[in-house]
Amino acid sequence: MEKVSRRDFIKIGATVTAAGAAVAAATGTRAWLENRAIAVGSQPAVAAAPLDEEWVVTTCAMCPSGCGLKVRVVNGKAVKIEGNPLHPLNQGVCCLRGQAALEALYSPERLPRPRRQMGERGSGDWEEISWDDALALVAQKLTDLRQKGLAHTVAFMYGDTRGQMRGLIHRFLAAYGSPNAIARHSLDEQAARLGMFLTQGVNGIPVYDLAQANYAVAFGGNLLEASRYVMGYLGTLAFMRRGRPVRGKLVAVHPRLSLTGAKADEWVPIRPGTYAALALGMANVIINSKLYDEDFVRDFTFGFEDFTDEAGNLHMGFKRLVLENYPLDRVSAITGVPAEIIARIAGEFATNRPAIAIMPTEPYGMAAGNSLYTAMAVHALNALVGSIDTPGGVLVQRFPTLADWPAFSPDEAARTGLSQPRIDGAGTGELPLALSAYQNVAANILADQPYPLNALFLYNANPVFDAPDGAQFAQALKKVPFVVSFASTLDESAAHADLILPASTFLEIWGDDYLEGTGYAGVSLRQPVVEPVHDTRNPGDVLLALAGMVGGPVAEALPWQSYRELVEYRLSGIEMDSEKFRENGVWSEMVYFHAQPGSPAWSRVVGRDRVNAPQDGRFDFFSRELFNLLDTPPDAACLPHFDEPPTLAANPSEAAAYPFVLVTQTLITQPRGWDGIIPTLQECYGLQANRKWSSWVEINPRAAAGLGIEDGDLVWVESPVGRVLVPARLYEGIWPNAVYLPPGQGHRTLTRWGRGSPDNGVVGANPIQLLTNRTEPLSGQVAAVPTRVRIYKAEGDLT
Amino acid sequence: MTRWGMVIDLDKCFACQSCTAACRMENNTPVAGPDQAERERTILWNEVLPFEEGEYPNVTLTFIPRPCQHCDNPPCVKVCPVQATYIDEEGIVLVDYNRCIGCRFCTVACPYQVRYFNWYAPEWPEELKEHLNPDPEVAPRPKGVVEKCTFCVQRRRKAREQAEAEGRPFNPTDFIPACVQTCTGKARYFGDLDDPNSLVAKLAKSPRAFRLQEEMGTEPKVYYLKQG
Amino acid sequence: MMDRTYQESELERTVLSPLRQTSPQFWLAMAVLGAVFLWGAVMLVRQWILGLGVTGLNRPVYWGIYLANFVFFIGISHAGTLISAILRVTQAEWRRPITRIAEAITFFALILGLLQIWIDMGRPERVFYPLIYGRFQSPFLWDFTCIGVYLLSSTLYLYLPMIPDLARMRDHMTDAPAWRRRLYTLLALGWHGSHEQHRRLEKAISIMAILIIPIAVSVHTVVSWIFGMTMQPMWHSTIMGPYFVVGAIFSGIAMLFIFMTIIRRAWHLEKWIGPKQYNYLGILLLVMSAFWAYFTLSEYLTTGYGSIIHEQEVLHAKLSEEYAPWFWAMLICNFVIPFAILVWRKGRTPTGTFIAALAIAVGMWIERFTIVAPSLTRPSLGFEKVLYAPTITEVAITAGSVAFFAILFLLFFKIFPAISVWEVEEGEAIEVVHRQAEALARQKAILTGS
Ligand SMILES: Nc1nc2c(c(=O)[nH]1)N[C@H]1C(S)=C(S)[C@@H](COP(=O)(O)OP(=O)(O)OC[C@H]3O[C@@H](n4cnc5c(=O)[nH]c(N)nc54)[C@H](O)[C@@H]3O)O[C@H]1N2
Ligand SMILES: Nc1nc2c(c(=O)[nH]1)N[C@H]1C(S)=C(S)[C@@H](COP(=O)(O)OP(=O)(O)OC[C@H]3O[C@@H](n4cnc5c(=O)[nH]c(N)nc54)[C@H](O)[C@@H]3O)O[C@H]1N2
Ligand code: SF4
Ligand code: SF4
Ligand code: SF4
Ligand code: SF4
Ligand code: SF4
Ligand SMILES: [Mo]
Repeated sequence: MEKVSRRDFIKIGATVTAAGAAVAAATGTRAWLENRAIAVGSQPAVAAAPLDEEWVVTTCAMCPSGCGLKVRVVNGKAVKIEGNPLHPLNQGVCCLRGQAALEALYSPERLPRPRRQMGERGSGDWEEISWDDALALVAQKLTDLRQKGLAHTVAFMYGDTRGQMRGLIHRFLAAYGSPNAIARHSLDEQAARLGMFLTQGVNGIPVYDLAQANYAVAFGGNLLEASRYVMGYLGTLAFMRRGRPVRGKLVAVHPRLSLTGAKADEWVPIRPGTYAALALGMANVIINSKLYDEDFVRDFTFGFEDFTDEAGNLHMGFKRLVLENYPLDRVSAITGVPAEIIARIAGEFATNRPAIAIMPTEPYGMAAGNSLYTAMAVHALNALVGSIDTPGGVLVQRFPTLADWPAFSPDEAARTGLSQPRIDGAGTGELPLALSAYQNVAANILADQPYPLNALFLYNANPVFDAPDGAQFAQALKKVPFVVSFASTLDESAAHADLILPASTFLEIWGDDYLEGTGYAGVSLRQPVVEPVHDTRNPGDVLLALAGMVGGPVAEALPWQSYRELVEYRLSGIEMDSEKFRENGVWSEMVYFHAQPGSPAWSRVVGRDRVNAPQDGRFDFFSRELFNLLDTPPDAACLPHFDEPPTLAANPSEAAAYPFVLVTQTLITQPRGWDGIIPTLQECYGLQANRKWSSWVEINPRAAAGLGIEDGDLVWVESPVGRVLVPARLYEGIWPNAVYLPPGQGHRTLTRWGRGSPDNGVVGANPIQLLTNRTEPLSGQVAAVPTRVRIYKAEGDLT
Repeated sequence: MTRWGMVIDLDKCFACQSCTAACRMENNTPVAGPDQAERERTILWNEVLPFEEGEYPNVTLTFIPRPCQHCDNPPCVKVCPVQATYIDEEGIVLVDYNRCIGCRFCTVACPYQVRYFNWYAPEWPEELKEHLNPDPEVAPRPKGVVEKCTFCVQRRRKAREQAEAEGRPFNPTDFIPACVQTCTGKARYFGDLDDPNSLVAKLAKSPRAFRLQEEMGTEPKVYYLKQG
Repeated sequence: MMDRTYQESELERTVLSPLRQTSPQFWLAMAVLGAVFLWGAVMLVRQWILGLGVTGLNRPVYWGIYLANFVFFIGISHAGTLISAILRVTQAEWRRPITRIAEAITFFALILGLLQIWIDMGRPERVFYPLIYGRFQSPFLWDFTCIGVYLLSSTLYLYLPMIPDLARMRDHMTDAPAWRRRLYTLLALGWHGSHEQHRRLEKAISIMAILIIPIAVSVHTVVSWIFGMTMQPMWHSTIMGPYFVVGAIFSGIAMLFIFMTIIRRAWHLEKWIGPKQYNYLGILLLVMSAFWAYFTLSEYLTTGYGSIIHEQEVLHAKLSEEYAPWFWAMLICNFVIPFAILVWRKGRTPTGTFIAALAIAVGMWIERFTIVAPSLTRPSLGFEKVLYAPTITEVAITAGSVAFFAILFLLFFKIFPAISVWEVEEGEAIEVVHRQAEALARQKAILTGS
């Protein structure tokens, strides 16, 4: 009996153990074997079929930087973009927008062929038509108007235009007989450009030599996210920090902590719209403590000290203006920047030369109604420390000498057309300095001022979305009898067009681009990396075809068969190996020659473009250009100074009702022209806010606490003219009195992006619809910010 | 033996996310879309992580671009019940998509949150599929498996093939991952950590060098250089 | 072989009656449970087709209520085998009527537990890969192994003591459908109740009872290591093992209460499952509740006193932020309610304990949930709070699983007796002997005049 029970024990025990052991052994042994296997093999072997593969160089157009790209093309499809290592601006790197450009090329939102509005304008009742029919329609219209002596009632609004395209547009209109080539520069770089012109006498965007600077203060201008030469600045800043023995310092002055602020060595928060006051406050410190470059100021500037003009009248100089009007305490009160910080930064700036004061170049941040004088005030700091055209200072962008446009003689129709005033009022009356006043077009169309407009072309421009009071623009578009858009996608303005002549993307066309941002001259090549994905065309080709069809002097002025030919003709002025150019994608002078003050070269960097003032190589603290242009101006009007932004000064009762000011700031994730529909950029969109595919409003936690708003709450941001619904994002990095909305969102996307998403949805909200439309006198710059807003929770108020 | 490693200089990194986008374009990570993004299901192998500290006006934002750390002692490998995730002979941690059972043990075990799961089958609008990288290693992953940064192994293979075709020995500098190539601040370095003369090996010894959550003993092969 | 003159005992009659006839209430219950089960099944198929995207999971909350369900089911599996084994080993006589129920809970809970892992898999069709490619370093493998062994041994442990009853049914359930009779014959393994057979059986059962205790402990320890072996805040803790085991036994007993009360009512077993069982088990539950509270306190207090930032964050998430309602509900369910009821003798009634047990079942599920989810929402390298809310799919599949569990359980007891008839009879016999012995002793005492 004993025996049996032991057997039982063993039996049962064995069953259990065996079961366990079986599992264990099976898995364990296997595991051991597998581990061996892994030590020898790696990724599961994949038979790599040979791919028909090549790399094609071209130039990016996702933002105005114009970097060189190198595109991997496999079996005729573009599959990867890298930076072109030979391109001096980006030197082989490529930002995320460039990376994502393939998603623009193959975007499902692209318009595959020309289309015509069949129903009422804006009804969305489209019919696709052939290019021949479309061009015939446009040519017919153009010819008709010209014959009726109404050539000037055709306007061409353009956004980003690269390389020869701008010249082509202007030439086309000049030969045709319209003064209305309207750049959107009044929304961005115009004031900066004019600030440079009125002081340094050069009509251009300043280039900052960060690589060799020891100290830089960026007044606004989102240098590392959105500046004109963003790739150049990213690279040179990296070099300034880690590529050389002495580490330079970057200070960022912004109402909001952007990536630039975060990555700068110091962030100085400032009350919106008051950069000029800060710059003048710094000048006050520098002059007071005699830290400025006395030799340079004495020998190469004008209007530092008081002076008497030819008529014997005494005028105030920059020094007295600054010392009398911008003492630290006052500046601190205006800007909200503590006096110690202003004094310290001014001191560091003046003593760590070469130093650069970076003006806010182009943005809605430079639309405070005082932007012209802001640009002048900031740039004056550069002259104070002698940073004009020096290594580590402000450079003047050089351009290559291209083959001259062939001469042509405008006919009678063209001459009369051209003698008409512009539809945007730029260059005359209130806006003598303005090259364009994009934002005025809508109101003038609606008021038939100065004449009714009969046809409007939109190229790379989407004013319904981008201009303040876009609704007014939509109205205006309805009123114009014939609207043609070159849009690649059905954007908000194209939706109101009669005819869309869809543009190919930059990856499908021939073209060129100037090398900018390095200072020295150069051009870079744009060539098709793939066959056009759709039946779209290069707008350059379209314009040339139209010129041919309109005929006469227009055809004569533009004798090229294709845009490629035109570009090749123009570039033939540069002595270079065109074979190598196609291979390298870029040609440049490679070196920047600094001008010695007073040397012959100096006159090309100071005073070069002056019209009403002497080209005497002197930097104007006191703008002689303005003095001569304006009718007996007060001294202050010729000197950099600070004016309270009109939007803020206006109305105290409004101030009470709308206690916050709205600032915007372009993000690096925002492309030009393809906002809202590039999925990868949307998925990187709001880095700090951790927001993708949406907008948000940043508000300081203390301000939010006062309003009972918590992170993530849906809130309305309301200005006197509109409101948008967005989630709140509590953010310590914003001026307590300001709120921030990202500017690129609010587009409708027709595509269903990913699972569970609507296929006709609006991504985020457009803050520009909260702005009122004003224009700054003199410069024509849009004056729309800071806008007062209020903010409140959307409780049961979602409609 | 080569031991691939990366160094990221936070002083030169500008949080531009170009690496993030480059990685997507190179490795065919799918578009999540607004709805899935809202549910925290975007798949970007190399996210830039923002860290906000302090109170206005003394706020600092620190950004850390974060690929897989390719740990020498990778917890993700240890926990995988089917050995779908493994470390190859050159120290690269990889996932065998044909083996992964989708248990997501590795995703919770990875202390760096670098592992992504395919909640659904990947999806692109038809037109967008044109730009997908045709390299076989990056064929879109099916639903239900885990994926992550591979140090761009397809580029390693191609670099080797290239060297072979040119009849020369493979040099570690031939192999550059997409994020390193595109990095706008030239803040990323890649190379052989075992070669004392390589740039990465030298930078990894810099006094500014540190690794993420070093205390966990995972021995990452991604090094960071401190700011300032 | 058939003894036609056999007179069924009251016990046997009562126990076997639900096997013979079915009440409309039973069908109603089955219909309701079936519907819920079907709902879950449909949602599961949908999840397989579409992917785990239909859940509320995200990055980094990669695990959610499926994992909580897994831990919960594996936890309650300790009801049975472990409890009945401990009671057997300690020779607690009152255990006899409830061992079968307890063992059945174990068996089905294990199946449901494993099912949860399968449900949670991104590639369910690769479910056998761990067998082929297993890496033994992975705690999942330890789990599969331990649970596999536990399942095997629990099956055995459920089966062995059922053999005499199976034989009895083979012999007496002549009215049962043919397939069932065949089943009983098959499973009864030729049991004819000889002394020898009885001896062997008793021996085997006691060996199993001893063996199964360490296995059960290992199972839940290993389950805890799934979490403990990662470096997630508040998972990477040595207390996890014992904490999980205590929680498992605790929830197991609660589950036993729930099911024994249901079966007792539905199968009319009040006479056998009575105050004694409720009282003793109630005390045990009370003790476990105290243990559980003690472990919870140790866990949270040490975390609270430490200053590891990420752990603090998880702690705050549980104590005062979005998981606070869960956390405090858990404490109330697992400690406050059971304690308030069970300390009193009067509370340890069927109704009282049933309520306490329900609270604990819910509380322990929440406990599992608050272990799984909050840690993942606060990863150590995180920059953003991430939320996790289960979707209707997860709710449906969870409900379906519970329904499935109940269906399996009820069906099982439609085919097999809910009470181990022979064991109870044996107990009664022992008691009779005891009583007789006592009476004898008394008589003797009186007789001897002392
Ligand atoms: N990523 C990207 N880069 C781009 C572009 C793009 O679309 N995407 N577009 C290019 C173009 S066309 C332009 S114009 C530039 C624009 O680029 P930037 O010139 O950098 O302009 P923003 O970023 O819009 O704004 C500049 C600064 O103004 C501040 N600001 C906002 N409102 C106010 C205010 O009322 N007062 C004051 N004082 N400051 C304010 C903001 O904090 C911000 O820092 O970027 C160019 N580069
Ligand atoms: N909401 C909002 N408004 C803004 C700004 C902002 O950031 N946000 N920024 C302001 C500034 S600084 C500027 S400069 C302006 C810019 O404003 P716009 O000049 O209107 O420029 P975008 O909106 O960038 O692009 C205009 C349109 O160009 C079309 N497009 C894109 N690529 C191509 C192409 O290759 N060929 C052709 N023909 N068309 C193309 C697209 O359909 C796009 O909608 O907006 C200003 N207003
Ligand atoms: S910076 Fe601008 S031009 Fe350069 S790659 Fe990026 S988007 Fe293209
Ligand atoms: S690309 Fe380079 S600079 Fe940009 S975020 Fe990545 S690591 Fe930083
Ligand atoms: S970072 Fe994470 S995924 Fe990468 S090797 Fe380390 S543990 Fe594994
Ligand atoms: S999800 Fe895949 S790779 Fe990760 S542990 Fe599970 S099987 Fe391994
Ligand atoms: S190494 Fe390759 S896979 Fe890894 S993050 Fe960089 S690009 Fe992506
Ligand atoms: Mo602009």
